[in-house]
Amino acid sequence: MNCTRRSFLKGSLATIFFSNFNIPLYGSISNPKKNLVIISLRGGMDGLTAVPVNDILINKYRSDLILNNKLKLNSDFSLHPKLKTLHNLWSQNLAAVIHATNVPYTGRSHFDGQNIMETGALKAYTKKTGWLGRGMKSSGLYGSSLALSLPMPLLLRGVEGNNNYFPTWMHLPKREVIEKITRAYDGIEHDKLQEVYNVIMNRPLTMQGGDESLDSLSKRTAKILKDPLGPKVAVFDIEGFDTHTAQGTDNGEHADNLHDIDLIIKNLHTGMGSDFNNTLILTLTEFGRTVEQNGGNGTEHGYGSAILMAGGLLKKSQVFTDWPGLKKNSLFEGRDLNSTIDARSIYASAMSSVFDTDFEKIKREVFWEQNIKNYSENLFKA
Amino acid sequence: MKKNFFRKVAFGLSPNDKINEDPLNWAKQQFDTVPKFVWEKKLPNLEEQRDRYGKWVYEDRKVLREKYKNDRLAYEKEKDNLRVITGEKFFEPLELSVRHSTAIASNSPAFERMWHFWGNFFAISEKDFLASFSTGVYQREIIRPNMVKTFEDLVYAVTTSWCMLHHLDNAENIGPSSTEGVRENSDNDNENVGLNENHARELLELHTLSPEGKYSQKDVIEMAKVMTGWRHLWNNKKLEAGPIKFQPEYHEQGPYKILGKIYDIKDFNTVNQGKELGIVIKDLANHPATIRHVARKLCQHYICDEPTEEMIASIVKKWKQNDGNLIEVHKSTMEAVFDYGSNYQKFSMPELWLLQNSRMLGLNYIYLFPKGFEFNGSRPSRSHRLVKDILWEIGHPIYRAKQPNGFIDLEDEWLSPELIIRRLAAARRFADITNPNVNYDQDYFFNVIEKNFDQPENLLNLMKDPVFYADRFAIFANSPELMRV
Repeated sequence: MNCTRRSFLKGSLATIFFSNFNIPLYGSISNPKKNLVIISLRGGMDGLTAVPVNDILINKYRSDLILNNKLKLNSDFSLHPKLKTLHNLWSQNLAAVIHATNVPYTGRSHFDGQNIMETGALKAYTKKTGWLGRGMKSSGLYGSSLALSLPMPLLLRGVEGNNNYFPTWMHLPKREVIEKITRAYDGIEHDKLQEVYNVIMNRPLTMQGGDESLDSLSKRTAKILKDPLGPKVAVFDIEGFDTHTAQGTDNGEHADNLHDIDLIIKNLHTGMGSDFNNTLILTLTEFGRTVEQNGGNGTEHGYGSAILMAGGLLKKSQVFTDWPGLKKNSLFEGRDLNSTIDARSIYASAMSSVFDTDFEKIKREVFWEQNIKNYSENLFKA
Repeated sequence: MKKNFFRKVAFGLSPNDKINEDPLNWAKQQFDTVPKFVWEKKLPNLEEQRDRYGKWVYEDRKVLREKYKNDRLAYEKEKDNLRVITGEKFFEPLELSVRHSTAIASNSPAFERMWHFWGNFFAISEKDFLASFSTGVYQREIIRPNMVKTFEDLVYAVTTSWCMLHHLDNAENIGPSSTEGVRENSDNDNENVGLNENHARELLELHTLSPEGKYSQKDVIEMAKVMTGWRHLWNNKKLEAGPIKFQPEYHEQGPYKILGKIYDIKDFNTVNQGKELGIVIKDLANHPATIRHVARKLCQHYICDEPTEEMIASIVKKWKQNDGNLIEVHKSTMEAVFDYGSNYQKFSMPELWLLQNSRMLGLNYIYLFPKGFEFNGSRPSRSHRLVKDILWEIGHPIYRAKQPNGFIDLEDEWLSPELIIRRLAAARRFADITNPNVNYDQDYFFNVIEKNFDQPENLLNLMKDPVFYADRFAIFANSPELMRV
């Protein structure tokens, strides 16, 4: 039996106190709650479709995938027309892009790539926790996350008290019944299931009801994050970026997926009001796609992609990149946009800024002292 | 371990099951032949389902969209009608009902459990309309009959099935130097064709070697070349749902080099080229990395998340002695569970949890069980859909895994509050799907527990307080004894 953990998780106030012990119990104006929202884009987002580069070479590589109505960012880059909200935020210094970036993984397997994207390790299936979970742990943030999906993403593993919200119409048994079930696990040392039942018994009202559409989930998330005592981290999952065939241009499969990203950003921006200023939204993907289109007007698994970011914690609007170029000999293995920025440097810098944790501590405790760089000053508000 | 074994390798004992005195032998003899489904009505075959798939995509894409291009409402209405006619909403509920009816009532439940394992090992993830028409029949007609053959036979059957080829885009995989490749790349439509590595990669990564097999990107490309030409016959009326035929005009000629071995078969004239795939699969299926990968997956499914080398080796040894004969591989898996299982607990994925509760408690949520039903051109009712709906609610839509590696059989994958909430809520509903001839009082639960657990004390104790009827089910099903086996 594990008395300590049970009593600590028993009342929601106790949970909240421990979750945010590095900030005042009640959020104050001088020290508002900062939020990190991650959107995992599974299947491999095509960075050159989401954030097209102004380079005529691209017409040679992928003549069937050229966008017509790009949204201009600067002289070099634009946004896909479905990323309307992001484009609006850009003009308010609330949006930014990291381009030609990826986790250091060149194997082109979804499963290995997503594993590395979530664990932050150099080799797939070598670590069982996610960089975000470890980053929260190292920042003392327990019970302060929310996944908007049914299974708990690997990304969040490694810290206790993770929560998720993905509502069902079915009714829960009464609290006494859940308590009875929870007690049945008393005899088992450190049982992870018992921890889950404890989280379930302490759900706030904002997490009861709703439906599982992305629209509803993101509107709810805005409310949940607005609560000064609510979670500080939210994780969305979008699938379907693996467009081997009929990828589309302004419209089509990849465009629909980009629209999903934009919908989340829009609902968070609208729903969070001034709290959007204390928020950072950041996308992840396992790899980019080949520069050249394939035979099915789609693209194959590639390497470098882009990270889309939004929120008031950004320093300014910018496309932050060490652009490798599209000439054949600049492409990775002659086929993929190269990655010149280790995406893990961005993840670590983002956590350091949002969680107010020393970058070196994150580098040490979350990324095993690996060679990552601190971009906090370039990208985020202190 | 005696009573627990029936839960570890199957779904536990139903109120009607006898306790066999030799559980290991009881399990092993189930693998000698392919058992029948517990379903009296006729089941659709692969070809019928491909035709229905073809009709659905053709009529929607080529007829309705054109006909109603200016009338969206009429289009939606006609499309819905087409769903009913083709059974687009019917076959997934039907196939899942067959699966559950058989798991709950079969005399060979250990075989059924193994069939479920292979279905997930060679998963067809959610893509296009495969879950609606094809995944169920693929598991019945491609995987199941090969469970009494060799692993090589199974891999070959899966790899050349319409369902897997479509799932992993192999029709897009065209030899750039093949006749069709050259022709399509030299016409004026600006569309280029070439290799598509998707299927080749999954064949190496998931279905055979696994990353431990240390293949390279070059190996993937070479494998993709071997696989060119394996595609559906194009048909104006069936579109991508034509039958699979090896077509040499799309095939990239060898020689190929895979894992250091050169496949240079000079006398392979155009008629024989398709045989290259079988020759490469033979090597892949019998590769030591493959054997270890599959043995590990089996241990992981039945025994624990982190199988020991000893467990894995016991299956690998039998596999090698019997040249991958799956009957023997399955039997050695039962032995491994018998020898090592009592020291470990394995978290039950939601469907297994549902089936264990159902078989042990004698629940009944399958429409017209055990006779079954068949497609009659009508819309499925709520009763038809119940199995599918419950699986959806508990987070385990069997034919709709998100990725080709299927549902991950590890505890951490399933330990989220929302997934556990769904089991709490679903278990209350078990009270509504009971056998009407049975009184589910406290004694009934006590008998179920005595029959199925070697150490029943904790569970009996948990169930001894009087609680409301539906809560009895919630407590039983969410007890530590039912969440892990």
